[in-house]
Amino acid sequence: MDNIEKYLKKNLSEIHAAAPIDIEAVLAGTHRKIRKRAVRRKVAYLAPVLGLLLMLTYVMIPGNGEDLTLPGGELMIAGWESSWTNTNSSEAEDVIEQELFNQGIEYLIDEQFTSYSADMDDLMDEEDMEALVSFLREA
Amino acid sequence: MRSDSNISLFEKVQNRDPRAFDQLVREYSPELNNFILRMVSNVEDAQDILQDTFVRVWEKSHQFKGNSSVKTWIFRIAINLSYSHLKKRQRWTFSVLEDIKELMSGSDPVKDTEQNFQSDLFEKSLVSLTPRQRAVIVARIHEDLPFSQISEAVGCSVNAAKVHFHEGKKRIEAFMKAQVGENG
Repeated sequence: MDNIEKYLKKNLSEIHAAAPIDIEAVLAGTHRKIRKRAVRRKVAYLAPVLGLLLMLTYVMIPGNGEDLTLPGGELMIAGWESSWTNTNSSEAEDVIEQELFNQGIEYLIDEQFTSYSADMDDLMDEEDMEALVSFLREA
Repeated sequence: MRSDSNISLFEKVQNRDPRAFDQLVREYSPELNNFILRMVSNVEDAQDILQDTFVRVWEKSHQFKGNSSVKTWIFRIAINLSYSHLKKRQRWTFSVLEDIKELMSGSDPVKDTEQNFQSDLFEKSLVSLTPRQRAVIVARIHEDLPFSQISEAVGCSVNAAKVHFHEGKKRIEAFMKAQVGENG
């Protein structure tokens, strides 16, 4: 051991020689860190499994049976697709699109009208209709 | 005798016995804290690293193969964590020289006794070392660990650890000579 090593040994044993240590605090801190790391590890392991479970739940559990697409919507989409894929000139595209759009609108109106007619049938019977007609005549 | 009792205590820790673990913490904390404090020179950081060391001991106890003593194995974990801490701290400081200037400007020659001056000077000389040099020097001189164990703990070859040790010594010597020249 040379002089520098002796100097280092002496000084290393002297610095912080009286530094106090609270063992109970060390124990508490160590246990807290072990618990925290265990929880973090569990989350890291379980996250992909939970994600997969959520996806499976979404795929396997059906909704309430409602179809969210609008009536006539498919026809309009088909029209758009047809116009973009089957025509070349923009004028011809416009004509076809207009035609398909009108068809879509007519379909929608027809659907709505039918449903309104059905509602009216439900609401009014013959007596109501007669009362309504006589009221209109008097008016 | 102590070594045998430590092995049986550590076997209980390996079998996940919390009471044995607490006993291990109580037994090694004072010595380990002194060692880490010499590596990082900060009481709060030392306590934090001490706790992290025991966390690793609990988590990795099954990896202990008995190639060294339990104490050496635990000290290697402490060296590794202290070295990582020193590297991280160095990254956040502007430079080692800035650290030294700050320490020098904080000293009060009137208040400082000769002993304080010497110990301050010694701490400043440690700051002038690279993290790896400091880790190797403290582990080798204070704990008398073999270079083979130190090199594993700081992640370098045995020869590289020896080089860091000698370079560190030379740097401390040069630093002390410069300080003595300035003040004398």
